[in-house]
Amino acid sequence: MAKIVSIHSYRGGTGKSNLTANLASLAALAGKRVAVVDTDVQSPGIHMPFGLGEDRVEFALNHFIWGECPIEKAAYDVSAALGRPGGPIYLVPSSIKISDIGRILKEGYDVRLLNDGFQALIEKLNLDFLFIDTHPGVNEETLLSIAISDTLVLILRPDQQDFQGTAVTVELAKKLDVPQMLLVINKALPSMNFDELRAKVEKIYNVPVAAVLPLTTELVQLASSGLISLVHPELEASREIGKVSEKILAP
Amino acid sequence: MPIPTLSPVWNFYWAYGICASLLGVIGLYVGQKTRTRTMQLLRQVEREKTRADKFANFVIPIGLSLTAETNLNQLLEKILLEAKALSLADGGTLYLVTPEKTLRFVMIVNDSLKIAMGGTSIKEVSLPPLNLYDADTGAPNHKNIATSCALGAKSMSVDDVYTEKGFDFSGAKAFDQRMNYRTISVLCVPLKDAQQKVIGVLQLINAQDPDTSRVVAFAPQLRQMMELLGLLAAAALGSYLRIKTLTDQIVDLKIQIDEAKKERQVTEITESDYFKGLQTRAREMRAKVKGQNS
Ligand SMILES: Nc1ncnc2c1ncn2[C@@H]1O[C@H](COP(=O)(O)OP(=O)(O)OP(=O)(O)O)[C@@H](O)[C@H]1O
Ligand SMILES: [Mg+2]
Repeated sequence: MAKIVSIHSYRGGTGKSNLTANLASLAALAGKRVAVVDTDVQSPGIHMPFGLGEDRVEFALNHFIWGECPIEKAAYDVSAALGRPGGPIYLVPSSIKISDIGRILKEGYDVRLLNDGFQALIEKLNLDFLFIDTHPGVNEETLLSIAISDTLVLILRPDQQDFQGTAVTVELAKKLDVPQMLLVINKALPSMNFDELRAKVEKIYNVPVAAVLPLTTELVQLASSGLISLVHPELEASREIGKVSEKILAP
Repeated sequence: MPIPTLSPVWNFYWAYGICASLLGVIGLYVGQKTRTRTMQLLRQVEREKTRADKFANFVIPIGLSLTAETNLNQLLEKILLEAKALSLADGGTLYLVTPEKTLRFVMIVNDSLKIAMGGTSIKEVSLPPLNLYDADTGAPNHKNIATSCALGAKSMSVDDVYTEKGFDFSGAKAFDQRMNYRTISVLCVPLKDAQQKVIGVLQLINAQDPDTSRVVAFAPQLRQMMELLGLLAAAALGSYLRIKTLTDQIVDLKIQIDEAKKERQVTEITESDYFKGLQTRAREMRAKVKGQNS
């Protein structure tokens, strides 16, 4: 059985795409067959760290939604981004063409199609893991991704708005019976007391905090154009991502 | 067809031609002298170019790296040391404006005396702060170059402390006597935050000629470059202080959830038909998977 892992946050810019790309890569390096779907059709981002250029993308998730192609046609093998041997890793990007984004926003779509797509992808590519990079906030498609997940990774930054919003999402995920929920605190300032932060957050949400990632200069410099866990494995941020990965890969 | 006229560009070339030939003639006459003058000019151009390169290659990256510094002492030290290195100054002092309207010495370094106080060094600076205003009369204190620089929010330089009449350098002279040093040139640059408020002063001592290593005055171009570095440094300091207040709030770490607001939002979503349908389907799906696995 393939495991579906959704990475979500209540607000934008929390580091979902970055974490998704790294977790998927670590799973592939552990020999798993992996696919990543960018369901953030409004503001796609995960093609960047995998170096998937616009020129290579003939079909995107949008075209599957519009019935123009089967989902596996929109899956691109990006294993080369790992730079070393591992299980294959496929990416289903959302179209970054303005006209495509405009169309999907204007027309909307039946989110049940997404579920069909995920299941077909798992079957066709014989996947062990399907990672879903989501749009921030609560809407029909993010709720669907949460509902069908075996693991939900919720990212939050240590600030008041994220604390409040995450409380809502945690509550909803509990009502959807998600089997495994993990919290990841990202962009923690180095001057904070990480242990205290972790303890307080776990107590408030009653959900385990799998990692606390510090605000990391190298991540800013990388500017979404690479995989931090592979480029700088020695950094605290990379080590913390490794902890999340272990929890996800555990049978 | 319009009659072709001499365009202004052509006029310019005429003038240019005349000038060039004049220069040629003068060149023939002045000979040797011109050659040394040309060499000087070339060297000057070369220096300007190095400065421009330095600005692009050092000042901007320094500004960026300053913003990333999360330890105040390291940040202050970086500001002072980078400014000193860029200006080839022998010494430097960093002051911060205190709420009591004084200039506090936060760091002092001097290469030839091998002094480092404040910053990340273990030695604390033990010098008393400089009053920005006279304690009795409340009049602005323009006696010291550093206080004057802070009060006027303008950079200031002195070519030789011992011939300067405008400022009181008795402090520097006493220091010289005690340390067997000779303070000559001084440059003070204000550190202004985004609101143009002076939050500190960067003071550099004894600029050195890059070729001869002799102590010289601070060149006007250098002053400009330091003013720009001062801007970047002040921005970094400002952002550090902002983050610090932010951090202090979080270190206090009151995670407050507005439960009523949360309940309202959750209920609104869970009562929708879409959510209910999703809930049912998710349950069925998980039950099916469980059935398959067992
Ligand atoms: N720990 C970190 N330290 C510093 N920068 C980070 C960190 N994590 C992520 N970033 C940076 O934050 C930015 C946003 O990250 P990312 O795109 O992964 O977020 P996102 O949640 O997917 O955003 P969106 O909601 O727009 O999809 C990126 O530039 C990324 O490099
Ligand atoms: Mg994203």
